[in-house]
Amino acid sequence: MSSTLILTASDRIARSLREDLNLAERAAGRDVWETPQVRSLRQWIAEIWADSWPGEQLLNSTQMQALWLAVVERDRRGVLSASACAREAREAERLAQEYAIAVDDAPAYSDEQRAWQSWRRRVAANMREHRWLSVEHLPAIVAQGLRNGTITPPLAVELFACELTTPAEHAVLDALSGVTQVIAHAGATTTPNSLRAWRCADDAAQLRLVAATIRQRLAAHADHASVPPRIVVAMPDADAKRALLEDALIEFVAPALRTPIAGGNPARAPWRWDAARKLSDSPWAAGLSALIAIDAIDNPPERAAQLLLGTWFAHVESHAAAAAIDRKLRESGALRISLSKIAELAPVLLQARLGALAQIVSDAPRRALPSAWSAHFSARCEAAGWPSVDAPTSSVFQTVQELRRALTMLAALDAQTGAIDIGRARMWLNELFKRRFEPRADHAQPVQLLDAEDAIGMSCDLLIVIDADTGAFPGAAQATPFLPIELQRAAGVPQASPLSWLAHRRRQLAALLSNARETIVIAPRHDARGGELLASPLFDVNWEEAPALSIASRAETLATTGPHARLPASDPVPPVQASEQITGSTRLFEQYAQAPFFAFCTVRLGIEPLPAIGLGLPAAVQGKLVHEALADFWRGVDTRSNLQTLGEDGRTARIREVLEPLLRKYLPVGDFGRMLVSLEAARLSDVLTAWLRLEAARTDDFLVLEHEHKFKSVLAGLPMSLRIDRIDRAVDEAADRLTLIDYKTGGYIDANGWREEHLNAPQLPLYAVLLDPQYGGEIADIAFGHVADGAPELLRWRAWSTQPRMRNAPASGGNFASQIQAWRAALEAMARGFLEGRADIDPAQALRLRNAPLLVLAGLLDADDETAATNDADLAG
Amino acid sequence: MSDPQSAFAAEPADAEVRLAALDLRRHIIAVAPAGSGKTGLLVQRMLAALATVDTPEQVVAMTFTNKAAAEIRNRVLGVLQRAAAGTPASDAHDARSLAFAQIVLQRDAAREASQRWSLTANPGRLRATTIDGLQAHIAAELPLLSGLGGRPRVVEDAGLLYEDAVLALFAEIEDTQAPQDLREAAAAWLRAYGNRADRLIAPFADLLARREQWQHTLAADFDWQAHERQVLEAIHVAAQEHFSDQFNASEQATLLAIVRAASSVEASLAPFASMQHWPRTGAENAAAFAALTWPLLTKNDPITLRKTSGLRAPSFAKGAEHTKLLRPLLAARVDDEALENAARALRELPPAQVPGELIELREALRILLLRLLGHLRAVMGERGETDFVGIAEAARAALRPREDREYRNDFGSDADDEFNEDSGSGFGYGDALLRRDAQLRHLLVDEMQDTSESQLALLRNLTLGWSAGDGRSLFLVGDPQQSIYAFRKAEVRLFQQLLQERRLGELPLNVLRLSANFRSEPAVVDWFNAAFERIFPDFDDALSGAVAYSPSIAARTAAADETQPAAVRVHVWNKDCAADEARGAARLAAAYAAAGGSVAILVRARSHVRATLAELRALGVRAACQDVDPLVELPAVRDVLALARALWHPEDRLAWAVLLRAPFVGLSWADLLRLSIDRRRLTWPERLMAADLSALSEEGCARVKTLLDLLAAINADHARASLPERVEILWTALGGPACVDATSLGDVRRTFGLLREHATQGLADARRFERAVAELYAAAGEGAVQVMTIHKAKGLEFDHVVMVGAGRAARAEDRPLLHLTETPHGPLLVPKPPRHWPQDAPHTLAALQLYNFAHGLHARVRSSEGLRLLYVAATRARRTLDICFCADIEEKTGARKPKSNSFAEALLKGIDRATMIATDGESPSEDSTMNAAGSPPRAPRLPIDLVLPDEDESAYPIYLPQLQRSLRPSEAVLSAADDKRADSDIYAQLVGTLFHQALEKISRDGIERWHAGASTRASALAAGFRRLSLPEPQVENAVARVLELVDRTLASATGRWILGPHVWARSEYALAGYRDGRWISALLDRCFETGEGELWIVDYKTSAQPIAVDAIERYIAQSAETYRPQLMLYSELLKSQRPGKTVVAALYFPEGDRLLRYEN
Repeated sequence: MSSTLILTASDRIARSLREDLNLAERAAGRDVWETPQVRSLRQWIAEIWADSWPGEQLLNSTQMQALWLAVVERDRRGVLSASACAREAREAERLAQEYAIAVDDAPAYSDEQRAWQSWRRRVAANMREHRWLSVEHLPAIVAQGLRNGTITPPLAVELFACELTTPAEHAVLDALSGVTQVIAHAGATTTPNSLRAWRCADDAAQLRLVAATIRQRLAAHADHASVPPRIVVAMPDADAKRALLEDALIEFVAPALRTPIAGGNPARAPWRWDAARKLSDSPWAAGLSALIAIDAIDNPPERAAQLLLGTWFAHVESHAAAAAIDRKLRESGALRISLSKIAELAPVLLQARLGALAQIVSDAPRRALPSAWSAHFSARCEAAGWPSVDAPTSSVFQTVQELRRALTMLAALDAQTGAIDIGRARMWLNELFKRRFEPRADHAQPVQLLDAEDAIGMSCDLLIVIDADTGAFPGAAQATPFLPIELQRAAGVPQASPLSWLAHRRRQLAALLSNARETIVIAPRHDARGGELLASPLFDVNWEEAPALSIASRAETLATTGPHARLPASDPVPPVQASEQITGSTRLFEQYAQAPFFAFCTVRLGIEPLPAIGLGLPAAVQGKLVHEALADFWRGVDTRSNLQTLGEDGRTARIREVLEPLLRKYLPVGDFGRMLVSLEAARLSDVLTAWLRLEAARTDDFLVLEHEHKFKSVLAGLPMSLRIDRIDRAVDEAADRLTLIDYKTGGYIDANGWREEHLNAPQLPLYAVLLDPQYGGEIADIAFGHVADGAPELLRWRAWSTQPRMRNAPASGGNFASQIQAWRAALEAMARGFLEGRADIDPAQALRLRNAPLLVLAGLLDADDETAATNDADLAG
Repeated sequence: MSDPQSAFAAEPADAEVRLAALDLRRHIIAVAPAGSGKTGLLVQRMLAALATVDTPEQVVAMTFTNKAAAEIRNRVLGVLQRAAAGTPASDAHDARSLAFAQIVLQRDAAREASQRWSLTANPGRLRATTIDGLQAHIAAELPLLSGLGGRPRVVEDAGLLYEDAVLALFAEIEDTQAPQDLREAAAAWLRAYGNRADRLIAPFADLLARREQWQHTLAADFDWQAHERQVLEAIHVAAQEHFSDQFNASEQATLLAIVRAASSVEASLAPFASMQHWPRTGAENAAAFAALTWPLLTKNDPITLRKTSGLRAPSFAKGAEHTKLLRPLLAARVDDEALENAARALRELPPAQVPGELIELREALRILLLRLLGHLRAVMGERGETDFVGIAEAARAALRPREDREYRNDFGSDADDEFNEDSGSGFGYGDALLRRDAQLRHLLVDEMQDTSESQLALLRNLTLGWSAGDGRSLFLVGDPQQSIYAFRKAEVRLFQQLLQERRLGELPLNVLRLSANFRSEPAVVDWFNAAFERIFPDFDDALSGAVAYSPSIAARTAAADETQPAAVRVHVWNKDCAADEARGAARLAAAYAAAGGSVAILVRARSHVRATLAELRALGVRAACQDVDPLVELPAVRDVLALARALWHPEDRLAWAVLLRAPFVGLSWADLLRLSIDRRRLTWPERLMAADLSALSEEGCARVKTLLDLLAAINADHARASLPERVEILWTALGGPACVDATSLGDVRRTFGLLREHATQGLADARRFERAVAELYAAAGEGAVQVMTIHKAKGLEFDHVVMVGAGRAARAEDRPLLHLTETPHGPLLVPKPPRHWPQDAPHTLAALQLYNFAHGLHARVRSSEGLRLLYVAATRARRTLDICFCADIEEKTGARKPKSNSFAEALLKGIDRATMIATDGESPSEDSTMNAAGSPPRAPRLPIDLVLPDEDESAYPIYLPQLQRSLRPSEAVLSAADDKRADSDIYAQLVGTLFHQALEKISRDGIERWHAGASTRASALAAGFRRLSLPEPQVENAVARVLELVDRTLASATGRWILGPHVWARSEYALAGYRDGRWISALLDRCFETGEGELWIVDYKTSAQPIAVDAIERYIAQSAETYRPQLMLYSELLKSQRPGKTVVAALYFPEGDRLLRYEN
């Protein structure tokens, strides 16, 4: 056994030192040697305690959180977040243990302190009862064990960069030095022989500087003739900086990471984040989370989409099939989606998996122990085929393993939580997904990125400290509110006062800077919102303007010389070919009237926006119900006199009769909810009753000839397929006159769209022009039937009466026959334009078409924001 | 920003006021117009306060943005540093500041070294903070009293939290267990809005955002109807009093006579035929007052004062008595705006009685709101997030005096007794308040006009119990003329109320008014005074948010610069010459920029500046746009987002189409058509896969192939499966960077950042993503001309200001489903009458009248704020101000007639029209990017033959990391291929682990000690398994299995031999080495040297379950084969480590007590 154990301040220092010692062995010419015994102090304390095979169980942080949460929740103080409260309370306990604060006899001056003491007593009693320990308790136990000889010390101990230990750890070292030889080393190497401090404009400039510097330093080793330098980038908050720094690093240092590599052989990044990501940030966690979240019966559409489109269906074919299901669900407008419905919609490719999943999910118990939930969730994964990767890379494999491990850890919560419902089980699993995890890489990572506090003691060739402003160095500290401040100060908790915090930060910085051969400190001048930042005076250097970058990334080079994209001289749209098999509809003309481009995109290219996920009853379904209910109603009623004979009660009964099957068809209770469906049934009944009352009160007698009448025709060579909501015959007129009615169920109607020069509402003109002349009768009346909440209205234009409300008189001067001719001419021109490949859009006109989704394809903006500032984010400075 | 006072040697005209503002014995509210150096004054007072306190934390300065807070802190620090360095003062103001700083430094030097403030090293001790920041700090200090529990993330855009709460409410009503009254209330509101829950989300979410305004009305004992009656009565009385004040007694008598006389011709006046006395104020006399307005006002829109020329029969027959009486009255009041407004206000008054139907609807709303608050809290708790209102509430709750707090906790009633025993009783100040009170000696608030009601409440709480002469002080400074954040609940009436009442809570306030303007040159200040005196209303009005103007005195002397004399110019173009206006404004800005000095183009709305930006570009002038271009509107960003949506959802046909048209893919319309023939119903990926590429154009074919190849590669790359990664890789590989310029590249980078933040798990939560996207704006970049909205310009100053689009009307106010209107008498919550109510029913009409009143009030408040916005814009100018607008020309008069509700309309009231510079329109310029009329839209695309350069490695080659094992020693990296246990269960792994640990312990401590500890062994093993997270139901079996295996081992002579003492022995022996160009690490279960000098390596092999006897041999044979390479490697390592020995490698199987020795 190696005679000397080396203890370090952190695991990462231990890892780094192990690596150095191994390299030294190799450099000394050996090819095999005993692995150096290097441990972090914390790890060693846990190991030496476990070596004694204690009967107590050491709880992990999630188990401890469960204990604290239970007592906080039992307190029922109704705080916004009991979890956060429990976390902070537990943190106070950790602090008390680490700083050996005698909390049992501590005074409690505030509600917080009184409550905390009470919680702590309960947690402690619970832990005693079950013989549980937390990691904070171990230093005291080990120190005691070393003193009384129940723990055997190593033969010799070297301490490496352990000068910033907590009092509890210090007590262990004290005890250790009483029983064995202890040698302390302050740190790895040397006082920095170069320390430069740079100021740059902002964060973006800072990060580019870092990335370019790293690329420059590594460049000398690109030929692999020598070992690259170890570079540490230390920052106040690695989590906050990760995305942007990684972006800059990829752009400058490892652009290959932005190159697709067939076969999935990953490119290699020469850096490693020692502040690992949360497990939940992995895309594989997304799929797993979606599986865990899904409910048998009642899923909001977003949840269904997450399940369907999450990466658990990682194959292209499955992805496409799942997307098709999602689209169908969106089109149905369903607000609540059952898993069995998803399975029903699935193609064969996915049916088995979704069916099996639906079965397992529906078998979920109401309450169960976490271990049972763990088994249940695992069964879901198995049924769904998660993670659905055939040949995972190492990093994917490690991530998936770690996610599985989280499921296992859920199972270890039985004793702390007891039986819980599925919501709680999900909560705990999500808590476990918050654990940090970074897959190990199989290649060199000479650059380490981490929190400044964690970088203390790390030896390196180049240390880069970023965000070195006063906000971070010294920054501000907040003492825990659960312990009296006086006790914290007396115990030496740095956060307990500004003075002790400043001293603490100075010590930390001194330690941080002492282990690098070369140091660069960078501080931006302004924050993201333009606020001025002061360079930290703690570095005690002369700040200089950062040097100009001597390199640009490929993206920057391209962008600087670009844009290289050019506008083509023209981009013509060919005329419609027979092979396109285009059939015209009212929609084509509606869109063409707005802009020929819209009709081209929709009809010829089949471009439509993805339906938005529904948040309420879909207006289209409401409209469809009205249309079909009226069609059904008139079957068997036919005439106004029949309608009148039916009477109010008869009409109400008939409405109920026609609505019932339609509601079942279009608004299944399972998809929309029982209450909403019944409310809509009542509303529809009201709307239809009011409408039919209006119809009954009409002075003109009519016969309903057709409802939802479909017919085909040809307009200027364009085959047409049309459907008229309703055709009436005026029975009390001398001539055989027809009325064409288009039901409108929206908010507002007018007749301006009937003007041939702006045929924005071409439906009725189309019908009037194209209805088969053989149909019989003269078309002499068109009408919008406004069947909606509020005042029902029949807005009509009859050959024998005044014009409807219009802004201007139509060109025809009000003569109906000539109006039809005018419509025909206008419609034929539109049809010809469409067939000839017209696809223009007037930008000025487009401004009036706000939020038309297709505008984006024409490169036009779809919103005209008139409000300078409408929310706080606009104003925050 | 530099201290505006520093440039002035002479004391300003209001020097005495400024001195008084430094008197720490007095609580002060200072009114400080634009350019008066209010922040400088606040900084000086902060220094004065610091000179008197024991710790710097006892002085707290508050403002509204982090940037402004940083500025205050840095300015204080700057003065302290200059004082320490002995820098001489530049003027009297500076000298005062330095003097205070010297006192601060001297007092600090007198302290013990360990107690010194170290402000230079620790400037964070200077407590300059935002109000939100202070509230968050208080709440974090008091997690229980505040009700937060911990430190939730404070989100700036809490819209999603509100929406989720509303959705949770609508989901809840489907639960049959939900309270009946809740279901009925929801039913009423759903019915009112066509059962469209989606239409209720926005108004309900808006109410949640403004909950501080109404939540007190939800208390069980709050009588909403009585409150409403009171508010309506107060509104009536105020309007009636104001109307009455317009007339002297004689005029009142005349008006009464007119009404009496006219009652014979006007039916509506009939009830007042005998009205002899001026009616008493009160809602019950609303009809009488309305009758009094009849003779004065025209009947139809626009309702104005009648003109004598308009008095015609039949209502005003020539000889009629009332006509005769009215003529002189009207003649004397021509253009009397005050009378017109007062009379019109009576016409627009709401009904005194709210119809029962509306009350029912609102009662339903009350029930829903109560529940919504619960859902919001649940959503916030679940997410660990809150909003600024939540933080403010929390801080207020924490600081609430104790007796109040006892009522607060409606959650703790059934808490355990143990928890309640110490919860405190009695009355008085809460501990938290006392603690805060002890810490806080001097409180300073900048931009006081921007405080909301809840922030005022916080200030009241913080200063509760302060008494005269106790050494504490409050300093509030603001400018009601710059109150432009009503939408953020900062209503100007709050500031006006403080000025009027001269107290905050119980604290008396001394009002000081600054008047010196250090910012603008005299000519500019004179223009402000002349124009805004007329533009602003004559009097303050709390109801409509009107503020009267306070003139300034120029403290700056005119600069001698003949080329750019200080001036204000108003430029006008014809109505349809917006392009000329844009061009003119751009030229002005360009000229100023060329001559030097700072230049800003200010606009009311972002859209107003687009054309001007294009003109600036055409002139070659770079503009720094501050939050002007929404990122989502930039083509490069739009394409990236389309790419993300397309990859996420193969069925998103629009996103795919945008992608295919993006410059880095670049398909023509014709090729898109060819892909679509016969396949229009397929998704685009299906069309691409199924396409006959030969049918495409040659170029299209190449483009599609490139795309398909890259899509295939990205789909095969499972290591980079997150959507943001895939998007970025594809964009880069397709040549995205070549399609942007340097500025757009920054915007695209930010978009990728956004994707990483919000879309790592995909885009299923589209609402969250879309919201985040909408909040982003293009980076400001650098430029000679700054372009921003007026809101963004607040607090800034420029040498030259050009206002563009002043002729454009403010956006028409939407008619929301609900109006929550703040009045000086309390809030009014008025729903829009539902559409399904009968239109002519009295209750509908009354409800509509009430709603219209609320809406009108809202519009007036916005309109008043619009004037202040104009003031803020204009007063940013130091030397020149150019205001540009387009306006119609009235045919009759030839006068300019700008759009109503535009800046120009207001402006024309304040300036001499003759001074306006009218410019004729020019012929419109051709925009090269515009598409030819009648042609389909074109989109730029990368040339097909463009060869994109590779990474330039000439300066610094790119270092590609080698595989670690050939470079450095490393820890094992697992992969599916080489981890044998990957798919085995955790149970088997842990049984093996604990067995190994047991054997290591036995080998170390000896077999005897193992047996001696038998009684505790099982519990220790169980604890070990639990520590390693073995599920509880498996622990017992696992313990038994390990003990069984250990027992078998110890029962075996072989086992005992392995574990027993040897000449040399190690357990769990770690070796490292370097062989065949690779680093190796090995952990040997057991190795020892026998007396014969043989070195043994033994690897233990266990199984989680007992193995059937007849299967053992097969199991051993398989294991032997599997582990042979590993054991051979170990052998070689040990051989090198202890050279000269014979090494024997073996596997030990306790299950069958077999030691399988490998033969070399």
